[in-house]
Amino acid sequence: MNKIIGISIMAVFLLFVIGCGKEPSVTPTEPAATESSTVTEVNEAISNADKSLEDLEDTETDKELDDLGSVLEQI
Amino acid sequence: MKKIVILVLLMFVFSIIVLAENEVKQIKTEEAGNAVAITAVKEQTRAEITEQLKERENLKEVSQEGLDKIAQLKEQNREKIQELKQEQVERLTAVKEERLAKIARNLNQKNIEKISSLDQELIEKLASLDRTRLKEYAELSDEELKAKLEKINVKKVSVEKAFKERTVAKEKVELAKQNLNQAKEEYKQAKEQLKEQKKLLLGAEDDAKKFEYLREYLTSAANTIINRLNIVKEKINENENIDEVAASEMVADIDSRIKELEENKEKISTLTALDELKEHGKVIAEQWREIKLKNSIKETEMLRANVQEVFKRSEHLEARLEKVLADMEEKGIPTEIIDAKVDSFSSKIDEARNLFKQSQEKFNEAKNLVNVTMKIAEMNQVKEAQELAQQANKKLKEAHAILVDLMENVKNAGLAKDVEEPETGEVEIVEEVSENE
Repeated sequence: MNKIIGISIMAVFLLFVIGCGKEPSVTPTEPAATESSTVTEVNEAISNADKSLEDLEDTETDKELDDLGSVLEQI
Repeated sequence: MKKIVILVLLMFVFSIIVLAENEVKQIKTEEAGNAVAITAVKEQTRAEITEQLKERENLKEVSQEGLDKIAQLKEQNREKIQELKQEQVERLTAVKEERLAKIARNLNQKNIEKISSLDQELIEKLASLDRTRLKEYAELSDEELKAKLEKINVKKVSVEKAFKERTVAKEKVELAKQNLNQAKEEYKQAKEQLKEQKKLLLGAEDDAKKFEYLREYLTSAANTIINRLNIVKEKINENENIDEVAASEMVADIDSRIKELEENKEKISTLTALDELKEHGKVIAEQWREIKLKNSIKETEMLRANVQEVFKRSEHLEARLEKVLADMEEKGIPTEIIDAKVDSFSSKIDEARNLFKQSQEKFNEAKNLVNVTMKIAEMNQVKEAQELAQQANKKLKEAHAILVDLMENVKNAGLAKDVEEPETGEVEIVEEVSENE
């Protein structure tokens, strides 16, 4: 029994040494996309265009001001 | 005993992982090696193709550079070019290689023959267009095609100025944002007061009360309009898509209207009779009518300027994607999937472009009418122009979704940096002169 365990440990150890001993190869990798990527810039421009009329549309107050003339006539 | 068995198992698993990882790395190294070998074979093949092209009677006098460009094309696309007359080939191959590839990929033999008979300047203009317009224009008659190309303006601009009309200093943007927040707060208060004063005024029983409440009501109305103008002004101040001259003119117009309203507020405080106040109220009502019209124009200008930036960026990206496709073809990488997605991207931008053109026409018409008649009815047309510009932006958003998906394929092909890397120097911008301009 002890022999089997001993041989197993030796075999695994050998496997471990072979695995670690192999030289890692250098593979060119794709650089990660930067924050300033052109695709992100398009996205920002779209959301900026979406917000163009933000704070500018207020139909309720427009109507209040449109009523100014008729209020003057009522008094 | 158990501990030893667990330890052995753990070491075994770890060894397998390390071995597997190294195996993958080895495969990748082999793949990289294969790619180099493939490239060498491709270059050899391309050189052979160039030699074969030289032997053709119609291509004997064509420059080496021109022949190299043809040799880089896919076989079925190359065939469309190599059959042309020498002068046609010379004109076509004078365009950038990715543009020649775009023409050969997207047009049929008949249309390639037609466009290669155009003047060099017109061929350059046509080649600079996106693929959707390229296909559409190539179907036109010679006269229609020339007329369309007359309206195309290709200009080279520095990257910094390519997409924005001006640069607003950070401090100015920050100040505009602060002023905008303040104007929003004051606007909120003024409009609440306006409503309250209106209620009090309409409920007033005698002239003395009517006079008191009318003065407050008119002051609140003037304050509401002033703050509304300030909001528009600060939005213009921070907007980099409106050029300096237009922005200055718009801000000057707003400032002069605010000045008039401030003077009217002063006047209100000096009046002593109810009838005088009423008369003065009419002046403020008239001022509001004009301001409302002018504001709608300024708002549309801002919206359209912002959508225009999205167009410029999207069109430029499409041109960069064409370059990626040409590179892929040159390297012998299959292009079908990316090509089909660029097609969808380009069509979506074209749909947006058509909506934006309609918006432009509607807006120009409305703007002229407003300046002449100053009638509130023209506002409907301005609103329609706004809606069309918003619809165009929605289409551009859909195009962007296609782009995001497309970029995954470009990344997988290892060419993402060709699209994503920030550019330096000059870039080409294609402009279509509007009918009304």
